Order: sequence, then structure tokens, then C-alpha cells
Amino acid sequence: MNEAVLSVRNLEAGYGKSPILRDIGLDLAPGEFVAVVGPNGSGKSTLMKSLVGFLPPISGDVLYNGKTLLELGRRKAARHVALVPQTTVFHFPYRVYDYVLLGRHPYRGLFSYTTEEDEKIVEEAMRRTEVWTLRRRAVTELSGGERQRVVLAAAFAQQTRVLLLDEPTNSLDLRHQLQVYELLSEMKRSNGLAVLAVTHDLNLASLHADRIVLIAEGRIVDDGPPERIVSAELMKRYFGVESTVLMDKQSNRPYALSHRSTSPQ
Amino acid sequence: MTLEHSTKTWIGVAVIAVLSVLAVLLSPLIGASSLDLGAALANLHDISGSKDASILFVTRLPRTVLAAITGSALAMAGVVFQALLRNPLATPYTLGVSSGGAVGAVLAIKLGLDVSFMGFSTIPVFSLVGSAGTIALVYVLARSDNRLPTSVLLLAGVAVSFFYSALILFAHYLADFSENHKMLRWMMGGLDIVGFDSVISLLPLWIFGLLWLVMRARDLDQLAFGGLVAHSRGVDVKRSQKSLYIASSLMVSSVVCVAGPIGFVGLIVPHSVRFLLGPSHVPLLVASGFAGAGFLVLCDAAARTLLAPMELPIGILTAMIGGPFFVGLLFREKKKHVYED
Repeated sequence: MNEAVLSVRNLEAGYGKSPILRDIGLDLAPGEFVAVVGPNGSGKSTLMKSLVGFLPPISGDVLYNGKTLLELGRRKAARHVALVPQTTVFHFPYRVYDYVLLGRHPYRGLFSYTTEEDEKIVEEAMRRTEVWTLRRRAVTELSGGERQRVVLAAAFAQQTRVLLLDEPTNSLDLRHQLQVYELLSEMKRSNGLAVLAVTHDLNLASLHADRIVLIAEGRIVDDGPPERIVSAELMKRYFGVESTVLMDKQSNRPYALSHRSTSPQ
Repeated sequence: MTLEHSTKTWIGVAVIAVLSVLAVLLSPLIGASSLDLGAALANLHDISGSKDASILFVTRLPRTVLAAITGSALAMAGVVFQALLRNPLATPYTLGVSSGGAVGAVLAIKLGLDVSFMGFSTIPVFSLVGSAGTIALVYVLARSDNRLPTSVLLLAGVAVSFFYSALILFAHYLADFSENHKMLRWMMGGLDIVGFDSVISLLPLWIFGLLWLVMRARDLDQLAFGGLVAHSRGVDVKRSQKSLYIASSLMVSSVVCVAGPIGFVGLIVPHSVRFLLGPSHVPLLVASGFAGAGFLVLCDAAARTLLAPMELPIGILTAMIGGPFFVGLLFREKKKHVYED
């Protein structure tokens, strides 16, 4: 296995004095797709904010290629890790092309023009996410599925080795959900992108993730292959649902059909 | 495609710049009294001795330059505030900078601190102190973990503005007739200055603000999507927000202390330019600077001539244009959102 592009050591993070996350340890290798799951309020979004450095850690380290975010500095750090937030609100009608170009920010100087390289990278990211034909449209006029692909294109244009996503398929229909995950899997295979995605959809996670990290009450309670995490027992213990777990013969991955809520133990 | 697009955008910027410069050059020739440009230029060496030269160089040119500086500062600050607050309806006055300036000015008038010092009136100084105090107060109120959360910033600004409105009314209540007239006249805004002294005094802050904002315009493109996104794209959010807020507010304070709280320029101009050129902040900011200058210079020419020989306070004119514009904007937004919730 390659050396980790992202490693988290004994991370404690939160707002004010009381930490929400405790004792977080995590490694992410190039070309690895890791899903983060857990019930509401377990600290998944907090984890994303602290991994990108928006929320500074109370203690512990977040290392990208062996360097902390502080050592890297903000601009350089943004060349290592990109983030797709839960929701992107467009207040101003940027053209799709110009919006994706904003992903090149960490590579551009104070006065430098868009280079041919920038243009090439932006076009490639847009073709990959199939938004090239939308390039003259205003971002404010896109549908939900188009919008999320455009946001992904901007993240790809940032050319980082690690991509963090906070519920990237929130509010998308089935086809667009699959589309987003397929794109991420493809980027992982072709570019060795390391993906860490928070999701509520265990079945999508099972289908695409190499590992699933289960978070509850601010701690990582399990970290393993989908075959182990997607189990009736863990579903009941941490999500408070009774489920039937079956094996999908097509993908050879487990999936859960949850049919009743119980009280979590 | 991008080159074509961005070339088009910059051609748009250039056209706006040329039109605005033309407005600035031609506006001094218009006015209530007739002006012989040849005679004015011929008497450059003896300005006070020639009627034409003194009209041009002592009254019209200084106020045109003041209008241009004021217009550009307000328009650029409008662009910055709208991006920082992620609200297209924000103005340079939303966070109370002008109310602070007004409190400084009306208190100075009421307390009789309006003295002439080396030929300068001291009111602008008190107004500037009021604005600067407000910038600091709103900043301290809104700051948390060294960041400026948009919603808190907005609430802090509005709360401080309301408090200041009460202070201003109180000053009015205590003031006598002539003080009241002075206060009211200050609040209406005015560009009627004599000579270049006050223009020169606000140049340093204007130039500093101008350069700083243009240098940081790229950050605005990122901050318009919120702190988290901007941070993840490599922007030092704390530093960027703080410096943009302070630089644009100081720029506004400096023009408000000389010209009074001239309204709506910071709303009309950024919106019109955004409509023409799109929201990318480098061209938007530069073009808004020019357009703001041109717009206010034209408004000033109109204010000087419409009711000649009387003069219309410029703040009233911009508000008369701005009010309907604002309502139009609201209606456009309303149509977009009416079926959303």
C-alpha cells in the first residue's frame, strides 16, 4: 500500500471548549474511497471542517503527505485537499465556466491571468463531469443534478490528491446520486484521487467505498470493509434501525433494507 | 471560449471607463452660469482675477473631482459589501458606517465643535471619528473566533445603526433652529466645496482603499460562496474578511465625512455593472469604480442645473433615482423566489 496522503492522529476538535470529536485516527491512501457514516449529530460535518482546517483542532494532528496544514500554509494546503460542502448557494449568476475556474484559485497569483494550463485543466474537469455544454449558462439557472456536477468540476479543477465531500448527493434523485459516486470512483481509479465522503446512504457507500468509517458520538467506533460495517447488528446499535442485510449478486456488496426504527442502545 | 468571454468583459470595462472619463471631463462645462473655457484656460496664472477661471478651477472642477472620488468609493464599497455579506441588497451603509459618520457630525454641530481650523471645518474630522468608531464597534461585536460570520455582522451593523438613529434624533431634539438646519443639510449630502483642499485630504484613504480592494478582488469571488468554501480554496478567510471590511469601510468614511451620506450609489452602480458584465469581481470592481464616478458626476451636473439657479442637494437626487431602482430590484428578486417556500 502507498503512503497515506491524509493521516489523522488523535484528533480532538469542536466549537469552544467542549470537543465534539475525540481520539480520531484515520489514514487515507491514494486511490482509496472511504465513506464516513453515522447518525445525525455524530460529528461528521465537524470532522470535514476540521480536516480542511476551517475548524482548528483542539489537539492532535491532521497531516497531508506528512505535513500539517499550518506547515503547508493556506494556499498550498488548498492544493492538497479540496472540499465539496453540503450545500452550495449561488448568490451571484456566475457563468458555469467562470465558476469552475474559481477552483484554480490556489494556483493563481495576485495579478496573474488565466493561463493556458488553467484552461486545459478546467476544460478537462468539465468534460469529465459532463458540464462542458453548460459552460455559458448561469450557475443560478441549473437543476440540482447539473449544479452538483458543476461543483464537482470545480473541485476536480483544484487538482488535489484528497477530496472531502459532505453529503454530496443530498437532495439528488437516484440517477444523479449514482452519477456522482461513479464520477468519484472513476477519478479514484484514473487519477489516484483519495476520496473521503460523508453520507447517509449506506447502500451507496457499500457499493463504491473501499472502507466505511462509522462515527458515533464523536468517536470512530468502527472502520472496515463494507462487508463488515453494513450489518444488521451495527445498524441496530448505532442507527437504531432494524434491518435485513442482503448480498447484491451484481456488485457483490452488501445492502441493507431498514424496516423499523428502534431506540438506539 | 474563456478568452473570448474575458476579452468581451474587459472591452465592457474599457467602454464604461471611457464614458465615465468623458462625463468627468465634460461635466464642469455645464452649470447655472455660463463659462468661457478659452478664457478660463487663458487665465490659469491668475485664477482669482478671472471670473471664468475661478468658476472652473475654484468651484466646478473641485466638486466634479469630489463627485468622481465619492461615486467610485461608494460603488466599489457596494461591490465589496454585497460579496462579503453574500447579499445583493447590501450597501456600503448597511453596517452603519454612514450613521456613525452622521452621529459624529450632528454631535459636533450640537456641541458647537464646528470651528474653523486652518481654513478647514472640523465637522468632517468628527464625522470620520464617528465612522471609524462604528467600524471598530461593529467589528468587535461581530467577531467570533477571529472570523466575521456574515449573519452576525449584518445584525451587529443593523443594531448599531438603529441605536445611532436614536442618537441623531436626540441631537435634533436638543438642537436649535440653525443647528437643526445645519444637521439636516449635512444629512442630505452635498458636493459644494470650494477649492481642492478637502479633495486632497481624502485622497490618501481613497487611493489606499482602491488599491487594496482591487488587489483582493479575487478573494471576493471565493468569499461570495461562504467562509468554508473560500477557506478550502486557499483564502485566508480571517485576514481577507477583516482587511476587506476595514479598507472598504474606511474608504466610505472618508467620502462620507466630506460629502455626507449620499445614498443608493453603492447599490445602483454595482447592480447595473453586474448586469452588464457578470459577477466576476476583478472586472466588476474596476468597472464599478469608473461607473460610480461617472454616475455621481452626472447626478451632480443634473443637481446643479435642474432647478437653476437653485441647487438640488445631491443626496435627494440619488435617492429619487435609487428608490425606484431598489423597488425594481426587489420585484425581480421576488418573482424568482415567490414559489420557493
